[in-house]
Amino acid sequence: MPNEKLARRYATAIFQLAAEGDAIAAVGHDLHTFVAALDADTAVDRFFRSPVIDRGEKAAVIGDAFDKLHPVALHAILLLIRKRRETLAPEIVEQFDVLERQARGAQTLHITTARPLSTTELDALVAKLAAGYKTPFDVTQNVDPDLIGGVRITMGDKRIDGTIAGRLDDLARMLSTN
Amino acid sequence: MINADEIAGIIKQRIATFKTGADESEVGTVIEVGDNIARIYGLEAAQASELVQFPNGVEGVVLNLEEDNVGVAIMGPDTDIKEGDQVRRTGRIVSVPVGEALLGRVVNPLGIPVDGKGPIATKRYRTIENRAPGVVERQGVKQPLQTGIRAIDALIPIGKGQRELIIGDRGTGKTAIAIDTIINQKGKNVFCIYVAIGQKNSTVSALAQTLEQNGALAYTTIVTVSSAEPAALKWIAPFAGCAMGEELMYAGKDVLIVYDNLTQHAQAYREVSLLLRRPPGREAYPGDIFFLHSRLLERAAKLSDELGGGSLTALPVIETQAGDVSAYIPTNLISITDGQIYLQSSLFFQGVRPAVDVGISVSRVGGSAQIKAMRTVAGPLKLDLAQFRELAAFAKLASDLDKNTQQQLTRGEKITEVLKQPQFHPQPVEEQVAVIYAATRGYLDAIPTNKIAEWENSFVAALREKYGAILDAIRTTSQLGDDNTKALVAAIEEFNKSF
Repeated sequence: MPNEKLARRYATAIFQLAAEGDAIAAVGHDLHTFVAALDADTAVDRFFRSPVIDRGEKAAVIGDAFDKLHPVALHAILLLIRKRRETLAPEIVEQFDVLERQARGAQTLHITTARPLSTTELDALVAKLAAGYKTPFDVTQNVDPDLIGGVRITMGDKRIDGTIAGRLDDLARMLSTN
Repeated sequence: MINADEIAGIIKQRIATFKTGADESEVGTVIEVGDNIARIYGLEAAQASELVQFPNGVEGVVLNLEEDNVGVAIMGPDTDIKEGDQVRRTGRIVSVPVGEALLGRVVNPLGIPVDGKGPIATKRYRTIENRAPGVVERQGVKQPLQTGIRAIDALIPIGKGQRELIIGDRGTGKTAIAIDTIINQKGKNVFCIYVAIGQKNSTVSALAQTLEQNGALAYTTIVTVSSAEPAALKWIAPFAGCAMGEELMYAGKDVLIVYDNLTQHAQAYREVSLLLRRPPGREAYPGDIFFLHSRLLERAAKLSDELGGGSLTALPVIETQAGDVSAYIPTNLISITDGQIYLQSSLFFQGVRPAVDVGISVSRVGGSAQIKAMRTVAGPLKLDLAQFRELAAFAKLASDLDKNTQQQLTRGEKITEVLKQPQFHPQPVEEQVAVIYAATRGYLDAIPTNKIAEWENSFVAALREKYGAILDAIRTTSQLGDDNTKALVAAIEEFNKSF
């Protein structure tokens, strides 16, 4: 997060270029592909991040290996290599997603439950929230048995906590004051 | 002792009234924590001075609103707070419980009781930062606030709504003056708030006991934050105390508030500011240190009659190093307040206690904060003392001096002696008037200096016993009329014959 400001600047530039070329989805997809490739193979990741490898050489190898990427995405990656900002790549992608969501007027929605939700339950919940807050959502989901029961919903800065664990925490806090 | 059944009952009741259902809140994530300062990512809608809550229940106050994070001062132990913790907005601007339920209590700067006397029975809250009353909402300071200390009530009178600085080195009796003043408010319908900033818990406990023994705790609130507590708590302490006082002031009451001491307060604010990376200025204090104290003290006021005529009198205390009043914080405070009481360690060790240096202490409100009788007797007192100070250098040559000079020296000596007063013995103003009258009219010139204290004690006792009418007349009329003066002179002469 300390590099958030820096990452945002790069992301804004990439996003604007992508928007001008009407290729926001393609560029976003390719950036994710690139970061996923780094995550998938530690050798590639190490090669990409390493500060000792010659920049020209690195650029040539990456350029060859990822020549199928959208030109905006590829040039962005090459620019990072030239500027020695390779470590910023994942954060830039994150910020790119933020900008992309903003452009769509969408919001992230993270749902945590004690046991997996069925698709119908999830759809019903998201539909209800989307109707209430009047924004489309990008839904992510995970399961945390520590919640005991209920659901915890996080939308950006906002959190709706309807879990047993959350209520028990509140109760413990109330009983411990005075 | 509370028994198990009662505890079970309380818990049952709490659980029965516990709100269930989903809880919607705004949260952020801790990205950095240390030195009781946390940086939080998110909380985009957080307001300045808003309270936020960490997972373990510790609260913090939002101080810095930056582009992508907020700086929060943690008001409790930061040891359990980790990176990645979720922080919740409370939507409350820092506020404290207020009202008469706080009287007789010892609380911390968040209004949480620390005296073990149970919860505070009030539902009213007040934000700690409030706008000071404006010009039209005030009236001039015109009623005396009696400290019960002869040297102060006669020479440096304090009025209700005034801000009078108490300044001196450590161990010169600054707190003693404040405490005597609180004790002297007994039965005078003045509520007191004592804010102890960065003092030892043992000192505060002893102080609470002293007040209790003197029957003064019943109308006093003590706001305390010890030196071991986070700087953020020390920083809000005087503001919290002031909010408690304001509530009473706006209810038409007279309130006395003591900030003991603002040197510690300034240092705590400096600590918080430096940790938040605000640029340091002179002596590494932040640029707004003057504003910090001026906005605090500007809240002392005498309200207009339309607003109920309540008052908040502030006695800030400042500790100097080796008598240096030209340091940064002392000069700031001197310029903000309406006068100052200087305490000198040299006087203190000469046995002049309270060690008030009457030569350089001032009250910018002056005579309008004295009753008429006191004004009458204090006039000659000031003159005598000024002449004495001029001649004091010649005192060594006493035998070679002319009679007039010798007589002025003797008078000065007796007056200095009369202005000495033991701690925890505040004196009603009518008795002060009688004693000072005797001293300035030369009735003590013949009494040996080392017997003056004894004379004063027995004279006051005799006055109370035999000449109660004189004291009553001064108290009720606030004046020293011709008849009363004659009676007083007769009483003094008669008493001196037997002394």
